[in-house]
Amino acid sequence: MSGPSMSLKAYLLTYAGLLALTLSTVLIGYIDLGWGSMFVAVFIAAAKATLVALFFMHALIEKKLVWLVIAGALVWFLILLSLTLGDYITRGWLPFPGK
Amino acid sequence: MALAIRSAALGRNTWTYLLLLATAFIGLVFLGIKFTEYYQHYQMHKAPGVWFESNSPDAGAIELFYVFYFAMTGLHAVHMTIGIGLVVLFAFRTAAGSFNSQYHTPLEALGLYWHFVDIVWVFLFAIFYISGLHKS
Repeated sequence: MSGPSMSLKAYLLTYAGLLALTLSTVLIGYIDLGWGSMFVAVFIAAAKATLVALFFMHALIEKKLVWLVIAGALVWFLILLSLTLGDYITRGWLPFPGK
Repeated sequence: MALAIRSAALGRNTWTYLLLLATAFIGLVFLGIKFTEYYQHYQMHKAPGVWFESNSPDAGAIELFYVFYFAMTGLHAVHMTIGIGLVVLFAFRTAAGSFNSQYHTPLEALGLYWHFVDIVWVFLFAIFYISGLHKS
């Protein structure tokens, strides 16, 4: 498990990147984009999560097998998410009373 | 946390110990802020099912929002509490000489747990705090 470690500079740059993304998401958050507000907020959050996973969880320097596990987890998560949102988004589409 | 694991991999045990204690401290500060927020919600009568008052016509929806808010941030806080406990425990294990540059797998695993809980917060922050900012 004790694979190669990353440089101090990489960690500090990641930290600076996370702070910059947090600042930008807060500033953009004050602008009313309607439905886009949630989309942009979650998109920036996904970018931050990617930084954390790649550098702090050092996925970037891991073996292919680890990448396969991450990809598998992401696919299952997307299935979960799309089924839930598929229900949520289409709730008002059919004119049934009580839906 | 990430720097603590790097120190462990480089065999710098004193640094690992100090960085783990710093991680636990920052975690405690986070929980302190979180529970201050909870206390303010309670004082503003925004505790669903316990003490909830709202004059808005959407009171039901607002109460439901707070149910999700408390459940999701609360579950995150529970995981943080577990994490802080483990970080302190592993700091003492580092001081006791349990880890070295060859063997520090438990620290790596704790780091993955800690950063996963971090990622969860990144999304909770985006959903609960950022997306409604323009309405405040």
